Amino acid sequence: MVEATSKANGGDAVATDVAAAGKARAKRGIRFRYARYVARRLLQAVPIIVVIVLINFTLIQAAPGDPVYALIGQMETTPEYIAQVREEFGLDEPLPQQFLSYIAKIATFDLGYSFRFRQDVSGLIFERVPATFLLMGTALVISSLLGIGLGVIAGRRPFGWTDNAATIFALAGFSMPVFWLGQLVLLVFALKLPWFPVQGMVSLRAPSHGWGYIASVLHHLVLPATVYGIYHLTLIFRMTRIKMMDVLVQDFITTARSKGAGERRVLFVHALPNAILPVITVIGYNFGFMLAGSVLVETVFGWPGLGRLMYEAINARDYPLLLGLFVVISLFVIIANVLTDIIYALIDPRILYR
Amino acid sequence: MQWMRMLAFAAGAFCAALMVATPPVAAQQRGGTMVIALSGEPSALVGFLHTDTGGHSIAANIFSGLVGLNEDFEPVPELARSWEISKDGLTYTFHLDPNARFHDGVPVTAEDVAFTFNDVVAKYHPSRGSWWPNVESATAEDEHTFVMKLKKPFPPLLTLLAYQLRSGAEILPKHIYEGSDPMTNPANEHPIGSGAFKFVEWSKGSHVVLERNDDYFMEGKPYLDRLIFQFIPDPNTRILAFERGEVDFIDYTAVPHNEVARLAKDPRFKLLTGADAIAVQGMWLLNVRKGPLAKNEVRQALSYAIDVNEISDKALFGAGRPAHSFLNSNLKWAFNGSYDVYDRDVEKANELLDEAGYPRGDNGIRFTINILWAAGRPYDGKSAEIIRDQLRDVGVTADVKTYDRPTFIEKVFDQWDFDTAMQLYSTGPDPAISVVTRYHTKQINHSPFTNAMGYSNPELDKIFDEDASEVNEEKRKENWDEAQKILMQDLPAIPVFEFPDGHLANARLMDAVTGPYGYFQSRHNAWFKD
Amino acid sequence: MTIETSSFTVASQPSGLRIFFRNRASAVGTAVLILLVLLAVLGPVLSPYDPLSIGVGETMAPPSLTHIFGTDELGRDIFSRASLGVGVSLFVGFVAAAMSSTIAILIGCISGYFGAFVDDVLMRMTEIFQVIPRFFLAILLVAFFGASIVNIVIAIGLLSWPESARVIRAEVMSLKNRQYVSSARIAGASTASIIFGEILPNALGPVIVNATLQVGQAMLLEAGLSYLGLGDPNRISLGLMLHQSQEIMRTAWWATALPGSLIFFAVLAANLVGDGLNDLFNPRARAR
Repeated sequence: MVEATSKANGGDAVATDVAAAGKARAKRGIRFRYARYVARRLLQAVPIIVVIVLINFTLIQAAPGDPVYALIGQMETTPEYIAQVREEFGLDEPLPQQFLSYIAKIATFDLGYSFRFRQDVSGLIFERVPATFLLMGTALVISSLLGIGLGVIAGRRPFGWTDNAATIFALAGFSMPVFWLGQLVLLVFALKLPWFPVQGMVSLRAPSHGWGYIASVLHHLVLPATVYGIYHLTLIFRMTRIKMMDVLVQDFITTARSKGAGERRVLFVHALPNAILPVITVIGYNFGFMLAGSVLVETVFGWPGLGRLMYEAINARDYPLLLGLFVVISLFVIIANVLTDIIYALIDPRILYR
Repeated sequence: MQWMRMLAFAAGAFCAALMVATPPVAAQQRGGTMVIALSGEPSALVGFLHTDTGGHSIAANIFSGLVGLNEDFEPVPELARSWEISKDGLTYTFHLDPNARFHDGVPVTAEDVAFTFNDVVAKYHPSRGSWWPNVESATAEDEHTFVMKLKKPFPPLLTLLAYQLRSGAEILPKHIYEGSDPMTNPANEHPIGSGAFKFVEWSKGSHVVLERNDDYFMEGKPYLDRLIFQFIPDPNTRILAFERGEVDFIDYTAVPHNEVARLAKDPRFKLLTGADAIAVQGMWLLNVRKGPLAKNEVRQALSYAIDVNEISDKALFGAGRPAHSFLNSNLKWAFNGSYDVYDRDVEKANELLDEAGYPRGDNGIRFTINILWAAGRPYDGKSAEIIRDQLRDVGVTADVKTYDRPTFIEKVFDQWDFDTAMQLYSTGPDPAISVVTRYHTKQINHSPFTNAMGYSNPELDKIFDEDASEVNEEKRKENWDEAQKILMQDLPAIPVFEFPDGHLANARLMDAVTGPYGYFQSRHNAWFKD
Repeated sequence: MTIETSSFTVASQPSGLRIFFRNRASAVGTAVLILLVLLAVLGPVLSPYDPLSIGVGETMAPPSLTHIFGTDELGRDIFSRASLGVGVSLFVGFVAAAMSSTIAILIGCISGYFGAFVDDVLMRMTEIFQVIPRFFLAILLVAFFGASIVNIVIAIGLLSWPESARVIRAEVMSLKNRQYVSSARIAGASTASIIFGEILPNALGPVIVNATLQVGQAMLLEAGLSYLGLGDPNRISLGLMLHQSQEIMRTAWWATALPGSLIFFAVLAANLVGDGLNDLFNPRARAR
């Protein structure tokens, strides 16, 4: 408690400091604050990642199932061969040694060598990043547009029929198992109405380049991104609705209304910008949630992203790949959180001094 | 069976080679792209690293083997245009096709073949233990002559070499692999072979693209311009993609059985058979080490208690057949289903269990066993559930458990920590290769897909050992007849179903399957009709 | 004591129910949830068939008078199975939510009340659990340690507490210096009774909301795990049914229709109730 107060005081002191300084200096100061803030957050990430590696390493070691079994395929083999593969991958070393050599490796940004694919883990992961980000990014755009739009409509007249309808619509997507929704969508929009391709990221039968390639990828993107977007719309909708409810009863809205601003103007120019901040936070903080949830959508639509890779790594007990994925994804999540904070801070600079 | 035929065949092999090399009159059309769906991504495209079906169905197109098999299980020329087998059955001399070149233009020589066997297969292939110890030497006699000498006669050798999924006999370029660690050689990522198709790209998580090898040593082949292997993990999505025309071929391991009947009727598609050589059986493994299952009467009672017809009807949607022996009926020369006396007979099962000293308790239950199955194999799961239901009639409670594959393998095959388990066992292309490895006492060794049941019968071991070097076809038939009799009596496992072996293909796709390894063979004969 | 009046919980104010049911959607949600619980309780009694029994009817028989929702590929009665499945799914949902809420309450309260070093350690821990991709960790836990319903519930419960913990912590931090808390402290109440008797009841609102939403989330997570082949084969959940019958979706639409829509309605209902509760605890909504 005492600490909290002193922190707050410190924050105030710095704030007045900045306010007292000249404009240019303040700008530089703020930039410096940003840099220091980002650096601090990224430094904080280091112990987090070490602990995540430790947790997963322990889990993996405690788990039954040997990576060797996932490697051999369908035919029988001999004990000698199993011993040979264990030795090749260093699985015969004592555990603490395996852990330490792993930590030493990631300190030099070397994520190790995948058993399953016999390839560098970092290469494997970064090959998949664009596909996942493309899918997630598109889904985010869809869910943000729909979610915010519905949220504004719902928050305008809480408990009215528009609110109820929007709520049920927004929650409906969130309430269906995403793999089932995916299958239904495929049945309708890829088979009965052959508008979209069933799976994959690009049409392979007719290879395309340049604009044709982009068009093909976009064509393949529509269904998975929509399904994924609909699933994630709810969180954004919910936050927008509540914040709109909060904002719309405040004085400045009444003022704006009394000055004769049109309803649309009140909603989108006066109210929404004030409600949007927590919505951005929701989007940012759900990055990790979305990333992990992608495995289902990627499986249904045969999308070659990180989610599939993670699932395969688990099935193959590919420890280096698994740990590498946890490290990289955790880093992504941390970066997404920091970015969210920065966006927040751009609008509300007090956060920097916390 | 094929031993005599093989000798006869070897004599006239050169003629045969010419015949096969000359395309039949029906004019194959050139061009087109064949898209093959795989259920998962292979771990590697080179065959010596694994025995993974998906990996080999790609590798078989990039690399060539010494010999192939035709639909009658007879060896046909591939890299070896002809071969001779010495009278004692110990020396195999292969004459290589002088026109064969690797994709980088370097000619394929006997040195490459010898290197592949001695320096790669012998050291790194997972299944080498089942046959390589019997090889005395593998040497290059001259540029185009390769000789393999055995310690004891091993009649199925050519069949095995043609079965590259198990033998790994896909010839590698020595000039690229020599002096490097084959496990990590960069060429594994961009494989260079002498097969009908050249490697273009492997887009991880998505697909592999191969293109036509214009310098292929078989005149005029291949007909297709490109081969694409796409990884589609979800079975529903796979079949949708097939119906939509995004995919031309789904091999039997990746076909969703419930859709077979419907799609086979559709004029746009066809069902191809031709995985006969692998002859896969769904087996219910019984751990004979402990508890009630240690008693033969109990195992026989369980066999009476279950109804294999209902299982193959429901678990495989009628696409498979009930199994009646430890060999698959595809192995026509050896199969004998008459030792299956276990038609469902609940009364008899109850009697046997009473006699074995497992009377019903107050709750009507005699004992409880578990049934393990590996996630991702719905037919095994359904079989287990049907068996659980059927066992209730004889007072046996079954606890069905599912584990993901690596855990399943560890529990069943390494730790032997199970009562019963569902597992597919291949019984082909020759039982001496694939059945002996499951039931021989020597095979109780903690490794995957071996004798996890702990079953040992010296009499059977003797038959197995004798048969391994038996040259006489009639004698082999007798051996296997006796072996099946003993196994059906002892029941270290209960044969449940014969796995459906049909592939789904686009109706316009011709000659994609030309041998008994239809699911992973090279597609150099395939072409599209308009 | 005077403390009593000020520590009155929000939910017990007479207007609470009215506010909640003013939102018709959440009223409907409550009704649906009650119906589903009834189905789970009465279904196994009412349904004429053994849900595990193979071949109580033809395989893949369409809905009829004998099998009102048809049969699956093994000839099992879908209605009997689904009514069992509703119970298992609701069990997963509620137990996992209860578990994660309990963890969240413990960590949030301790962290918020004691502050300082304890807070730092606990919040770092929370951060770690927030950063770890949770669905992956759940897959990993269940794949590694066996697909039993208990493992699934534990995996989901263990992984979904961080948000609630943060919310509670913030509430506790703001409440702990209120006057009624100080008076309790001066009156000599033990730390535990201050935290759980005085502070917690007032901080509980958002947790209840989160817990309700987590019920639905947990049911969906379980379905997702089933889809990846990691469902418990001995406990028929709706997710497992849906996954198993997906194989025959094209031939027998009814096999996925019932489990699919039951999950949908259950999760939707839980979400609607959660939303209603949210409005209830949201002061501005109350003001209306």
